[in-house]
Amino acid sequence: MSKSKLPREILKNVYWLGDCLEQRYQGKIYHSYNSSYLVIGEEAALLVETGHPKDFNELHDQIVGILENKKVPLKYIFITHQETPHAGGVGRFLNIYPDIEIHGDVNDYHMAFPNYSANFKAMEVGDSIDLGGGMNFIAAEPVVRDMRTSLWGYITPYNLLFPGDGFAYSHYHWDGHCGMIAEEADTLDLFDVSAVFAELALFWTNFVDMEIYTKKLKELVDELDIKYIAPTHGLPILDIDKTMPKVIEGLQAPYHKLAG
Amino acid sequence: MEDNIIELSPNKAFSIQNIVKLDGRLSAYPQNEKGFVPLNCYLIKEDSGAFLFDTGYLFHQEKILHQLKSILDPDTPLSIIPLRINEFMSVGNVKAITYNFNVVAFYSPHPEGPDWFDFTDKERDWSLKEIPTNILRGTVDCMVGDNTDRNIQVISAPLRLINTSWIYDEKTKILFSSDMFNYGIAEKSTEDWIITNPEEEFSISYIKSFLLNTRYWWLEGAKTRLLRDNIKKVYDSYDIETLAPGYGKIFKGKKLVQKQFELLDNILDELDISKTKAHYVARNQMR
Repeated sequence: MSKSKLPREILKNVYWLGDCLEQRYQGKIYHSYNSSYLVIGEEAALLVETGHPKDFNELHDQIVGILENKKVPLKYIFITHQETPHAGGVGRFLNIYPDIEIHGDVNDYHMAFPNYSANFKAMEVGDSIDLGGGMNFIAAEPVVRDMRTSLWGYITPYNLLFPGDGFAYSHYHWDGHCGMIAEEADTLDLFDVSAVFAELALFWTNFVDMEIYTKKLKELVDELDIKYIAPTHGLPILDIDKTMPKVIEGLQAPYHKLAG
Repeated sequence: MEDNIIELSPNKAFSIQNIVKLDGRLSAYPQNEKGFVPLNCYLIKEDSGAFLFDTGYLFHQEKILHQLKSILDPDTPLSIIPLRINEFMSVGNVKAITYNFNVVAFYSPHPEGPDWFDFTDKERDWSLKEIPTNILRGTVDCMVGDNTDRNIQVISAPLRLINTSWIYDEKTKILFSSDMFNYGIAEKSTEDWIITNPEEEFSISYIKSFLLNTRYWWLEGAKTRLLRDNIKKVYDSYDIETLAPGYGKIFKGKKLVQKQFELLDNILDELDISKTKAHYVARNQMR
């Protein structure tokens, strides 16, 4: 187990991996995750996000440790978008697993990793990957984007959403939140940490009425019948009704604070 | 001089360019955009030291190293500032350049710069951490070389999507604008990559569409007053004669520069919530 208390199996055959990153804000040291998630079907495993380069060795050890008992190959990677905390491990995975398929919006990767351009497979909303045993990964509309090319995904039968930078928030290392799911971190002020993260990392949310986007987010969750959420930076959410409203409120806060 | 290097100021500032044909696979440009564009890295130098802004994609590594060698003595102390630390276009060749030149410092919004660019090989090179990382917060002043009268200011980009720096070089009066003012596209690969004609026209509708179909989809119906004020502050604070974007043609000439700022201001005014209704913008929705 890493210092970040991961890996953790959040649903059967779905593992939360990665490590924390320190964030300093107004004299406090927050932690936020650069998470990856390993989804294991009967025939193949898929990794969502490749993590921050600083965490690669830790992340890879976690994956190897899990898969050696499962006897299932790591065949696919899905990346929500091309930013270092999400795609920073791509190059190293390609070096170690030269046949691995990397799915998502694949703009730019042929320039960034020209020796592996054939490994990148473009996905669009609705495209799916069959992992065997009824486990499917399906690309979804990226409602809260960090890049023009962001793409989200979800898995069935769990209806677990991987929203990348959506539902992004830090947690309190000093209160032992590392490795907890959102509902276990009962001293975490979700509104506050969501608002701080949006203000600092999602610049555009300071200027846009996010009610428009959060309305769409709720529609997406209803339409896909999403039951769980596995964000890249926030703690996993296993009780949407309890946690999602606070995160949404936080996402709307920077606009009200800055733009007046 | 090596192909695709523009000397913006004699022996002081250079644009190191690599030309790409747009085919819908470069996220910096609208999906349906055709033509040719330069991807730009910039070198500014004095005899006793130099700065490199952005390092390009791995795809262009060999050429970029060759271009750099043609204008920079490998022993000259070199500092590297990736203007968008989170993007491959900015950081793709930091490691290779560090191996081939006398890199003495990295600049980054985050501590431990190598954590953000050492990702291309099977193993990390921990020795890169011996090179200090200077943290970019607010406005940072840097001297180019030792005991020179040449200073640059690194500022947080007033309009951005992700963490982005702009840089102003007092000596050459160049503003390095990263992912803003990127709409100078060529029809042919043989065109000039620097615009000097003050009458060169870009329409408001073209630039607006360019912004909305790239990384500024969210501007439609946003509150843009503060963004406009902050951009104006940059324009008023610096005497800018050249606009040097991270990709796209370069704009040279005071009148031309002024016009680009005016166009941007007009567009942001039009897009403000007081004049444009805000709405959800779906992925790949073209406008």
